[in-house]
Parts: sequence; structure tokens; C-alpha cells
Amino acid sequence: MSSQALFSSLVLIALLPLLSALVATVIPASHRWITPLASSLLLALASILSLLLSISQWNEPTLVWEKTWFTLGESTVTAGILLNNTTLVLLSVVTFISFMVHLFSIGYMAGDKGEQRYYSILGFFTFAMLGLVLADNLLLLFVFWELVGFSSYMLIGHWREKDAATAAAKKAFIINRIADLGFIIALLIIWGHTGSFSLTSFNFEEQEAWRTGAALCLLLAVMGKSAQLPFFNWLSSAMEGPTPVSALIHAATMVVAGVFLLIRVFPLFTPLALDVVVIIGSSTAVLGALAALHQFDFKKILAYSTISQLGLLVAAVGTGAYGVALLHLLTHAFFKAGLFLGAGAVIHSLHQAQHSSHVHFDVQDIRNLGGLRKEMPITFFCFSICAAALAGLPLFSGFQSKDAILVSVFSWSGDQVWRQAFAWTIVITSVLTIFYTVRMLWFVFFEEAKKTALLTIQEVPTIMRIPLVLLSLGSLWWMVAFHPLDFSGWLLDSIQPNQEHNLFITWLSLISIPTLTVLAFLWFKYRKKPTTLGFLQEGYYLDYLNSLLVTKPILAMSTVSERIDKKGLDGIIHGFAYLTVGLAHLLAWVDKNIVDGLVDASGRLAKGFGSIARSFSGGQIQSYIFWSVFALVISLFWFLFY
Amino acid sequence: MLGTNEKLEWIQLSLKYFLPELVLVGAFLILLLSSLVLNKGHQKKSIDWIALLLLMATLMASVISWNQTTANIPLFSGMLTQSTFAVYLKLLFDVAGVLTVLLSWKAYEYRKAEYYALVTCALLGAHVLVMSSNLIMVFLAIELISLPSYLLTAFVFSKKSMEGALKYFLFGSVASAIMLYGMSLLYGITHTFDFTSEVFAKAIYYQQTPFFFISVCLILAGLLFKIASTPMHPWAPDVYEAAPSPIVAFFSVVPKLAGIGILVLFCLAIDLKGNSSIRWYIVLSLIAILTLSIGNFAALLQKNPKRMMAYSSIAQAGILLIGAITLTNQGLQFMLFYATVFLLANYLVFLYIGHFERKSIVDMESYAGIGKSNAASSILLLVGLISLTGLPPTAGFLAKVFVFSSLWNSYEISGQGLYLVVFVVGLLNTVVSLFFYLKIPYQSFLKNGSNTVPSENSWGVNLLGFLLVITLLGLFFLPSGLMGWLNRITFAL
Amino acid sequence: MHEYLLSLLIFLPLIGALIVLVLPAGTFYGRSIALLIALLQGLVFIFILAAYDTSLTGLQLAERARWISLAMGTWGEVRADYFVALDGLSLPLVGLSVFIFIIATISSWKVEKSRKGYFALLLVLNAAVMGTFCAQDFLLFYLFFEFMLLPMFFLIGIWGGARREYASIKFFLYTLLGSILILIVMIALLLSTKSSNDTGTVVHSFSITDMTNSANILSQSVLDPQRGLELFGISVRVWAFIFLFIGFGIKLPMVPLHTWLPDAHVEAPTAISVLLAALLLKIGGYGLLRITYPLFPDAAMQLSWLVALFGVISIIYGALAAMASKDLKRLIAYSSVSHMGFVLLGVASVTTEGAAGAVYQMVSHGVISAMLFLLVGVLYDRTHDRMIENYSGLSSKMPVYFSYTLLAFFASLGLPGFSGFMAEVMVFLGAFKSNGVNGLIHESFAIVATLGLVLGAAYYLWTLQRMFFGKYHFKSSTENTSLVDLDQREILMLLPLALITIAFGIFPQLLLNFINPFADSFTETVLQTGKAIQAIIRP
Repeated sequence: MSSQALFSSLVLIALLPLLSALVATVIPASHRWITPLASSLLLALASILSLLLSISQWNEPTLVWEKTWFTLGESTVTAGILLNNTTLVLLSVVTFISFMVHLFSIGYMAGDKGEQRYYSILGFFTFAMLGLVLADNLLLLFVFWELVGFSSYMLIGHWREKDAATAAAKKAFIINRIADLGFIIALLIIWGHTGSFSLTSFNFEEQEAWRTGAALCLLLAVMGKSAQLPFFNWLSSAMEGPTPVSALIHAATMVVAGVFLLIRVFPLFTPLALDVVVIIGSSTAVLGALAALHQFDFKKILAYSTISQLGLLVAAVGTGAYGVALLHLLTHAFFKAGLFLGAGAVIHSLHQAQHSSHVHFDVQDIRNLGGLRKEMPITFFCFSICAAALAGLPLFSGFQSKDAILVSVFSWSGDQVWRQAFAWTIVITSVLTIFYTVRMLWFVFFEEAKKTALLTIQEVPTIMRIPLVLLSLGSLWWMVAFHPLDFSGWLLDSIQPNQEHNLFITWLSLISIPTLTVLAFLWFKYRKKPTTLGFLQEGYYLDYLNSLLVTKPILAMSTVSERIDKKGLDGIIHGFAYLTVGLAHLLAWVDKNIVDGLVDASGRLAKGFGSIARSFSGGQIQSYIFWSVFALVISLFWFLFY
Repeated sequence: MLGTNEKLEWIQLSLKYFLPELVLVGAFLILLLSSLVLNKGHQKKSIDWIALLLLMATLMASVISWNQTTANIPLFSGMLTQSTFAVYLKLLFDVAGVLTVLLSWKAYEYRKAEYYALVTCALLGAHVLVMSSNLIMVFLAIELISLPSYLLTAFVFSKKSMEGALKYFLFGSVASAIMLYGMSLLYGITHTFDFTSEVFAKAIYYQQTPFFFISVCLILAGLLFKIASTPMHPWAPDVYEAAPSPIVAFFSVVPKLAGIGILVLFCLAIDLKGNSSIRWYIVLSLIAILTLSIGNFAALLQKNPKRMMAYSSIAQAGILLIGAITLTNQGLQFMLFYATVFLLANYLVFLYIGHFERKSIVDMESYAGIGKSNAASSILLLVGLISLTGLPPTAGFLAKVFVFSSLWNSYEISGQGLYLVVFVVGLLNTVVSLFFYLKIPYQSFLKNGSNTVPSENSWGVNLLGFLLVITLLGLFFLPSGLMGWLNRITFAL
Repeated sequence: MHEYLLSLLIFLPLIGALIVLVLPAGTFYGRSIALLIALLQGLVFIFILAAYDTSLTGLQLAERARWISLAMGTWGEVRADYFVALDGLSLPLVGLSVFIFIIATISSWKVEKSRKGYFALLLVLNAAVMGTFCAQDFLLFYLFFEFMLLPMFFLIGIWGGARREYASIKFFLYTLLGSILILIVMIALLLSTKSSNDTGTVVHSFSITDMTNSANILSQSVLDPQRGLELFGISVRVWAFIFLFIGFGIKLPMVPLHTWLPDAHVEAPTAISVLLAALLLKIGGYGLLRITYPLFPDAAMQLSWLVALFGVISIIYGALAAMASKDLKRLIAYSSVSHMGFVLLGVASVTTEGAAGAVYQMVSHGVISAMLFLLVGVLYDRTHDRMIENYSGLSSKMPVYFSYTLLAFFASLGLPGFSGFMAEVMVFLGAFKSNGVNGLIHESFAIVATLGLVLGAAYYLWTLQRMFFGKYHFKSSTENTSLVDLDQREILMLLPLALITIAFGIFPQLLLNFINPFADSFTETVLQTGKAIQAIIRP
């Protein structure tokens, strides 16, 4: 394909979702039924195009198209597209998952009041993410980075009349915005020290401290977007949005953007910065997994699971194995999208059932569910495959990618004790993952039906089943490599070849993971009652800490500043005004009282002298004269003796 | 002593340059006569025209003598001196005279001929005052201004105006007495009344004593009375409130400028071209600061526009004094520029104060809402007030800039901290002054009036107002012409 | 015709004002004439754009006529010219003004109270604003600068809200105080500089170009760096800089000189708020870039940190105060304070990025704040209530209105894709780079200033949440309020603004073409002259 044609098709891929957004906006309400179909069609087109493109361009040398965006003095900022294997992987994943979500939404969002708005933002979201993936420089990337944030705000808060949803949307945006300060500061450092926003070369000229600073600042941004410690509470609240949106956010857009950024700017990171990355990633991973184990909300389990998995991805980048991170990103995208859409299917059909039977309870609370494997066999089947991938069972893609992460973590840790400690947290995370996955699966599908028993539940319509099936197919081992136990397949070999292998770890996982899974099933089967710790269920009280340490102080400061304005600054101004008026009053007072007082006195005096004084009503003239002469004398004295 | 022939020769020579004053004397007589000759009906119809023509003639005569005068010419045995400075001031007086007639047009019908005669008389006094080079002439001229002024104050013929007139008279007598006493002291020191003469200069050069200082201060007090400047200002508000508006306008300009003129000449004399060991600029600066501040602050609370304008004119005297304190050519020229602008703006404001007064809008509150009913008048009045405040695009702004520039320049050259103090106080006072100058527009535009004032046909007033506004704007946009004139003026004794 | 384009721009509205005044009262043509004039100005501006050459640095389309030329004896000659011209700083602002005046006129369409006066004043204000941005002579600049005061005073004072009198007087006094400080410096400058092309006698020129050239400072004058005159231990040149800084800072407005702004905005009618925020505030920034920095570069280099500090304080403080505001219009007024802080920060950095960012921010804020105030106006027109707490769930009732509000809010909080983002990024880049390039301001200023972005997001989103989301509810004080969605006239005003802010957000080069040469030469002049003068002071 010629370079120009390639460029055009890339632009086309990015613009198709935007077109979908436009179409969704302009279609009149009377023809709203067209919207989902048209949007899905456009996304299908984008997805197919990117797949074809990926296949044809796979392993081709890196291509960059850039055009002058704007000039600032003598420096030029370009805008363009950077195309390499990483781009292609993300391009395909994003368009495909987005297409799946669109398809699923046709059923899920049918009849929603804001359906058109939903599709329009969904399209825009995809567009922003594609822009982010394609961008060839940091500034442009940041533009799309923020647009992704904006779209997530709109989608999380899609149900505008639901207060929790709009609050969650605001929280997501603001927490991301705080973290994005890191991105901006990184941009400043990089521009200030290298004079460009290039993504490929970071010419810091021996200024390692600034380089590390820039890297850490970018890490901060990543921590926000990819929901790392301590910013992850927005992601669990974001469950207030429609479930397909969650699938999109968790699998292919928003949160993935952070990891993608880490992979893109990997050369920037100094060893010190990379260590920090691992620390953040592995802590998030284990804490996320722990929290996931204590959730009752179906979607929140998945949310914390995402947080945990993102921790793994980040940690993997920190160990230097960015290729491995990309690999897990890919596998995670499929199985997590599958899980969310599966959850969405469950919620949807339960809602439908509730609607017809007028029984109302929280369908997302796993304590109310159970036994759904019989009513929703297809959903159950697909969901289980994806869950298996999440747990990392052999033959599923999760096994390979998680194996790769473990290998890279242990090869990174070497002999250093503290590094080994962090490596072990990854292992613990993997174990916890198995447990919460099984817990979720057990309570939703296996346990005997509880409140759900009151409902007549039907399997979701075909249009929603297609994505489930496709995604569960994508969660099988062949996504990574033809060899079900080897992680170095088509992807890793092209992105970061020659990965170290560690047969010991692989074999250990092969044996331990199924064993642990079985154990977990038995544990939940006989333990029966789900338990929890408030501390973990509430996500480590991060929301509370947030309000205590950030929101409240800022609100207090804002009140103070307004008070300063009203009382302090305006007070000073008014004070001056009063002073002036006061001075004027003083003069008037002197005129009236002292002068008049003396007038009265002198008036009485003057009575004796004649009738002149009596001819005036006020008789002020004497006092005037008196005062003038008095002043004259005073000033004479003053001048003379000064 | 001069012989009779020589005296006649002096008189012959002098009369050539004395034309404006002669015209004034003639005008005075004609006006007095007309009150006798014309019957009431005729008088009513024609007296305004007669006065206008006569004062126009005076103005023409002054213009002629402006063209004649290039250097200082002693007149009448050196009692008077014709100088460019004096002639320029006379021009201003005559313009003021003409404007006074226009402001009085078809108003104050009672005893109109006498009224104009008195104005003419005061004008004559002002003319003579600024020409005086002899203390006796100064005293005479001041009395020549003062006596008609006392009478004019009473021309509303109400109890209030009588009272004002009497107050004015009493205050004036005391001021005159003080001044006269100072003059006699000064005569004792110098043995001459001619303050422009060598003898005078020499005498005071060797007599820089407290005694001399006191005598000068006493004389200054008399002059400050005419200027209505601190500490001799308290008469002004009462008198302004009492007198008819055109006369107030007249008072706030003509005696004031005449007083400033003679003050400048006198100060130039005692300053001995900077050789005096008494630093007169300190005295002048303090007077200026006090005058400015007291005038402005006292104006803040006034509820009667005329009283407010009285304090305003006190404050304006302060600014005129600021122009004068440096006693440099530049400063004085700018002071004259300021005086010119002040004259126009002040007449503009009093034109409308009088105009509204006749519609019985007397105090501030009753101006409420007239911005709507009398839009044109209100806008023109606004321009006048803006010019007094010193905001662009009116000449008031430029005048203020000029005055303060010259002050700054003096500071730059001399490094005297006091100038800087005056500078800062002066500018801060500009902000204060905005408060009260905007009071009337504030009422008329921002407030809603309860009683709707009929918007009667006042095109005559508005035409005059418009002309004044155009001049004020014109002087801002094209000040070069006037400055060219002013550049001709020299300030040597 | 090219020679008179700028004069045409300035005097068209004055002619319009005359026509409006002359027309008999009661006719309804005032607004049509105002609109016609505004559109004609748009046409003139198109000609200006065509005639303007972006590849050149410096002034273009200059018109110069002798205005005041006074021989002043010992002083020499004082000269002020009618000197108007455009450069990369003026042109964008003139363009903005032309555009905003069209919008403001449309927005005033339904003014009922004494229309004649309103539109006449609007036109006078128009001329003054154009003049301010075009004038290259200090006296002329000052003339136009002051001339904005009165129309504004009356526009707020007569057509404003309940506390309009308080607000208008506060506005007037604040600004007058500022202009007196500027006047002082103008007098000092006049006496201390000579025209560059004089022969023999000294010519004191008001031309800003002449004043900028440090070779024109008269020796032994107050502002002569060699003389090194001091006042209270601080150089007179530094004082002059501080005076100008405060003078323009009031206009900008900069914390803590900003308290006139919330009051003025809250009380002013919609169109006037738009003009105030979009244009009049810009004059503060314009003054800094055109006069304060180029004329006192040495003092600027000493005190830039202070300017930056006030910039950062304004950014943070304004945002905090906005958050605490209960009145929607007040909130937006405070957000202006916050956003204009970026201008200060950009200017203070004296880098190409910073200067360009400052100009960009001025234009961008002009467009965005206009949109915001129009939107508040729309709501106020319908309900006469601006209290945030009285509304809830508006998005379901007025979806189109909500869309525009959403767009404006996000544009204002600096979402990429809108002009505000570009401007803020440039300012940040400049402020951060400054320490490395010229050592004027520390990196931490830029870093702390970024907090403004978070706070901005916080108060806007909070407002959205409170007013637009949730169940519909309106606690009305008056009965019979009908919340109808935007009508066509309102969309006609809002749509162009929205499109422009998006266009400038995506294609910054549209504007940078003009700004870049200016930013470059500004930085170079200030740094070089500043260093040269400092070398004189401290040899």
C-alpha cells in the first residue's frame, strides 16, 4: 500500500467513529431507530478496515506522517500519525471492542431516552481513543487523552437524572484532571528541555533529574487514567454508567490509554522511574484484587478486578517488559469486555424480568443472584470462558499473558530482596484473582437461586449474544500463540522479541492455578455466606480520604477566598470610601459645630456691640472672619517659627 | 515728581493702550443711562442686546490691544503695566463678561440695566487689577471688583441673597483691611508702592525679615480672598448659594483669575527671580494643597449644586495655584491654559445650573431622572463636569496634564520633595473630585425622577452649551492654536 | 482606501452614534443602525485582513497625522500624533472586538429601556475599544482608554440590575484610579523621552514606538537610568513599572484589585457583561504587552516574578472564589479573574510561547466568556433568577441550551479542542521555560498555576451537576416562568462563538500566524533593551 493510501485509510479509520457520532447527532428523533444500526455499521467498517490494515502492515517498519500543526516562534509543533506494531494492535483492539459494544448496546440501550446521545458519545469516545493511539507527539496525544476523559464523563453520567451517576462522572473527570496535571507538567519539562514533543526521541542532554521528573509526572497521569493507587476510586464509582460503557472503558479505551502511554514513552523512563512504576503497579494490583474479593456489587467486582489487572500491566511495563504489558492488554481487553458484557447481559435480562413481574431488588448485588447458569446458558458459557481467562487457567489467553508477566517480574527482581517482595505481590495477586473470579462465578451462576427465583428469566436477544460469543472466542489461547503454554507468539515476537522464558514458573502455574481454582470452588461451596470487610468493600475509604484531604479543604479555601473578597478587599475599598466621606463629614461638622459654637459665643458677645449680628439668621459671618483671621495668624506663626 | 506736561504726555501715551478699559467705562455709563432713558418695556427688550454689544466691543478692544502688545509697557506713570500676561487675562475676563450676559439672557428682569452696569464695573476692576504694578492700584482695583460684587450678590432680592451679600461685604471689608495693613507695613519697609520697581526689589533684598514676611502674608490674605482660596474661602459657599447663577459663574471666574494674575505678579516681584531667601514656593504649595483638599472634600457632602460648585471652584483655585507655584514661564503658561478651560467649563456648568434653576430644579435630588426628559441638556452638562474633573476627551484633561507636567518638570529640575507631594495630592484629589462632579449626572441618568420635568424648548441654552462643549472638545483635539498664543506671553515684571 | 481602513473602523461607530442620536426618539432603527455599523466594521476588518501581511514584524496599515504639536519654550516641542496601526498584538484583538460587537448588538436586540441612548452609548464604546487597540500614540491610547469609562458607567448604571449604582460607581472609581496611575507615568515618559527623528530642538513625543527605544531617553531626566533617581529607595523606573502594572492590573483584573469585576458583571445587562469580559478586560493585558513591558524592560526583568506571582494568585484565587459563588454570573465573573491570570503569567515569562499564549488567551477568553455570559443571560431572560441552587435538572428541560452550556463550560475549563486549552498550554510552556531561557520566573510558578485547571474543572462540573443534572426542579420566585429552549436569535449568537473557539482550538496557526511575529519581537526587544539598560544602571 502506498504511504498516502495508508495514511488516508488510517485517517478514515479514526474518522469513521466520529462520523458515527455525527450521524447519531443529526438523525431526527423521529428516525431514531436508524441510529444504533448506522453506528454499529460504521464501527464494523472501522473494525474490519483496521484488522485488514493490521494484517497487511504487521511487522513493517515504523511509519510517521507529520504536518506542521502550529509554530511558536522558531519552534514547530507537528501533528501526525505514528504507525508501528503497537499502534496496529491498539487500533484493532479499540475498533473491535467498540464494535462489540455497539452491537451489544443495540439490545441493551433499546428504548433509552438518550439513546442517540449515547451513540454519539460512544462514537466520539472511540474516535478520541483512536486519535490517542495514532498521535505522533505528546501534545497531540494529550489532546486526545483529555477528550477520552471528556467522553467518559459524558458516558458515565449518561443517566442524567440519576444523582449517583452524575456524581460519579464528575468524580471521574476531576480525579483524572488532577492526575493530568502530571501530564501537563511532563509536557512542560519535555518542551522546556528538549524543545519538542516528539514521542520517539527524548533528547535531555544529560539532565537525568529532569528526565526522571518528566517520567514520574507522566506516571502520575497514567495513575489517574489507568486507575492506579491512590486514584482508583473513580473507576469503581464509574459503574454507575451503562454497562456496555463499562466494558468499553475497562477493555479498550480510557484505562487502557494509560498503559498505552507508558508503552509509547517507555524510552523516557530512567531506571529509577521504572522502579517507581513497578511499585505503583504491583501495589495497585494486590490492593485491587483484595478489594475485588470483598465486593457484593457484580460490576464492582469486575471494576476492582480491572484495577488489579491494570496494576499488573503497569508493573509489567516497569520491569521493562512493555511487550508483555501489551500482550496482557490485548488478552485483558477481550476477556474483560466479555465479562462486562456478560454482566451486562445478566443485568439486562434481570431488568427485563423485573419489569414484567414487578419484583424489585438490586440486580447487581450478587447476594440476590444465583443459579443463572440454567436460565442463561449461553451467557454463562461465554462468561465462564472469559472468567477462566481472567483467573489464568491454562488454554485461555490469560494464562499465557499472566505467565509472561510473572516471568518478566521475576527476571527483573533478580537477587534484590525488595524487588522480590514486589514480585511476590504479583504472585499473590494472581492467587487472589482466582479466588474472586470463582467467588463471582459461584454466586451469580452456581449458587441456588435466591431472589432471582421469583423472576422468569430469559436469555438475552441474539444481537447481544453475538458479541459475547466473539469475545469469549477471543479469550482462548490462540489469541496469543498456537502453543497454548507459550506466551511468545505473533505479538510478542514482533513487539519485544527474545523474551526470557522461565519454565519453572510456567510449570508451576500450570499446576497451581487449576488446583487453586478447584480449591476456591470448594471453599465457596461450603462456606456459603459471602463475607466482607467494610474497609475493603469501600475501596480503602479512598472516597472518604478524598473528601477529607482534598474536597473539604478546597471548599473551605473557596469559602475563605470569597469571604476575603467580600469582607477583606471590598472592606478596604469601602473603608476608604468611608474615610473620605468621614473626612467630608468632619469638615462639615467643624463648619457647623465648632464654628457655630463659637458663633453662638461670639453672637452673645456681639449682642452687646450692636445690631449687626442680629440682622443675620445664622450670624455665621463673624465666625467665618474669625476663623480666616485665626488661620492666617496660625499659618503666619507656623511659617515664621517652622 | 513729574511735571504736568509730562503727566499729560503719559496719559496721552497710555490711553492708546487703555482702550478696553475706556470701552468698559463707556459701557458702564451707557448702561446706567439706559436704565434712566429707556422705559421698562424697551429696557426689557433691548437691554440684553445692548449689554452684549458693549461687552463684545470690549472684547474686540482687548483683542486689538493683544495684537498691539508684545512687551511690557508702563502706563500712567508706571501705575499700571500693559503686559501680554495682563492682556490675555483681560481677554478671558471679557469672554466671561460676554458669557455672563448670555447666561443672564431674558432672566433676572428686575433692574437689569443696573445689573449689567455692575458687571461691567467689576470687569473694569479686574482689568485694572491685572495691570497694576502699584500696590495702591491693587487695592483700588480690588475694591472696584468687590463693591459691585457685593451688590450683585443681592440681585435675587431675597432675604437669603441679602444675607449673603452682607456676609460677603463684611468678609470682604475685613480682608481689605488686612491687606491694606499689610501694604502699609510693606511701604514702611520699602518706601515705595511700586512693586515692580528696582527700589522695591533692592529694599526687600536686604530686608528678608519676619516683619517683611508678615506684611507680605497680610497682602496675600487679601488676594486669597479674591481667589477664594484657603484660608480666606469660607465666604464662597454662602455667597454662591445666594447669588444668581450667571453672577456665580462670573464670581467663580473673573475675580478669581484676576486675583491669581496679580498674585503671580506680586509673587514674581517678591521672589526676586529666585534670589529671595524666603522660600515662597513652600507657602504657595501649602496654600495650594489645602485649598485643593478642603475644596474637594467639602464639596463631597453638598446637596445644593451651587454650593457644590462653590467648593469646586475653591478646589479649582488650588489647581490654578499649583500651576503658579513654580513661577516658571512654562508653569504659568499652562496655568493660563487651565484658566481658559476652567472658564469655559465653569460657564457651561453654571449655564445649566441656572437653566434648571429656572425650572425650579434646585437641589441635587431634584435632578433625578432629568437625563431622560432633558437629554441634550444633561449630556452637555455632563461634558462640562467631565472637563472640570479632567477626563478626556475634554480640554480639562489636557489642561490638567499640562499643569501636572510642568510641576513634574520642576520637580525633575529642582528635586524638591514638596513638589512631588503637591503632585500626588493633586492627582489623588482628582479621584475625590470625581465623586461630586458625577453627582448630578448620577442623579439625572441613573436615578428615576418622581416628578417629570417638562422638556421645554431650550434650544437657545443648548446652542450656547453646544458651542461651549465644542470649544472644550476642540481645545482637547487642537490645543496648538491656544498654546501658540500662550507661548507669546512673557512673565517678566 | 487602505490608508484609511483603521480610521474607518474607529469612526464608523461614532458616525453611527451620531445618526442614532439625531434620529427622533421612539424610532426603532437604533438597533438596526448599530447592527449595520457593526457589520460594516466586519467588512472593513475583512479588508484589513486582506491588506495585512503576516510575514512582517512591526506595525502595518499605519496612519499618522500631526495632532498636537506645541512649542514649549525651554522644553522644546511636545508632539502627539493621531497614530494608529496594527501589529500581531493589535490585529487579533481588533478582530475579536469587531466580532464581539456584532454579537453584543444582536444580544441587545430586546433592550426596551431608552433604546436610543443605549445604542448610541454602545456605538461610542465600540469606537473607544477599536481606538484603544489601534492607537500607537500614548496620548491617543489614553484618550480612548478613558473614553471607555463613561459609556460603560452609564451602560451599567442605567441598564443594569438592582445594585447597578453601586456597581457602576465602583467600576468607575477603580478604573479611574488605575488610569491616574497610568497618567502619572505618561507624564513622566513624556518629559523623559524625545522623538527619534528630531533635529536641533528636543521633541517630546507621545509615540509609543519612540518611547520603546531606549536611545530616546533624555539624559538627566527622571526616567534616565544613568541618573538612577530613587524614591523611597526604589528606582523611579521601577516605580513607573509598578504604577503601570497596577493601572493595567485593575483593568485585567488581577487579584487583589479585582473586586469591581464581580459586582460590575452581576449588575450589568447581558450584552454589557459580554463586552466587559470579552473586550474591556483585554485592555489590561494589552497595556502590559504594549506599554508596561516594552517601555520599562529593565524594571520588568527585575519584577517579572512579581507579575507572575500575581498571575498565579489570580488563577488560583479566582477559581476558588468562583467555586464559592452562589450566583451563576458571579461564578463566571470570577472564572474571568482566574483566566486572565494566565495572561499575566504568560507576559511575565517574556518568552515567545508565553507572550503568544497571553495574546491567544486574550482572544480565546474573549470568545468563551462572551459565550458564557450570553448563556447566563438566556437563563436570566426566562426566569430572572441566577441562583445556582434554585435550579436542578435543566438538561432535560432545555437540551439545546444545555448542549451549548456544556460546550462553553468545557471550553472554559480548558478541554483540548477548544481555544482555551491552546492558550493555557502556551502560557504554561513559556512560564516553565522562562527560567532556563532568561531566568525571569521560576518553574514552580507554572507548576502551581496548573492547579487552576483542576479547580476550573471542579467548579464547572459542580455547577453542571447542580443545575443541569438530577430531576428537573426550579424553585421560582416568580410565577409563570416558562423555560423554553434557545430561540433562533440566541443560536445565531452562540453558534459562531462556539465554532470560533473550536476552530482556534484545532487550528491554532490561524491565530498564531499573526501573533508569532509579535511574540518574537516582543521577547527580543524586552530582553535586549532590558539587559542594555540594566548594564547602564550597573556597569
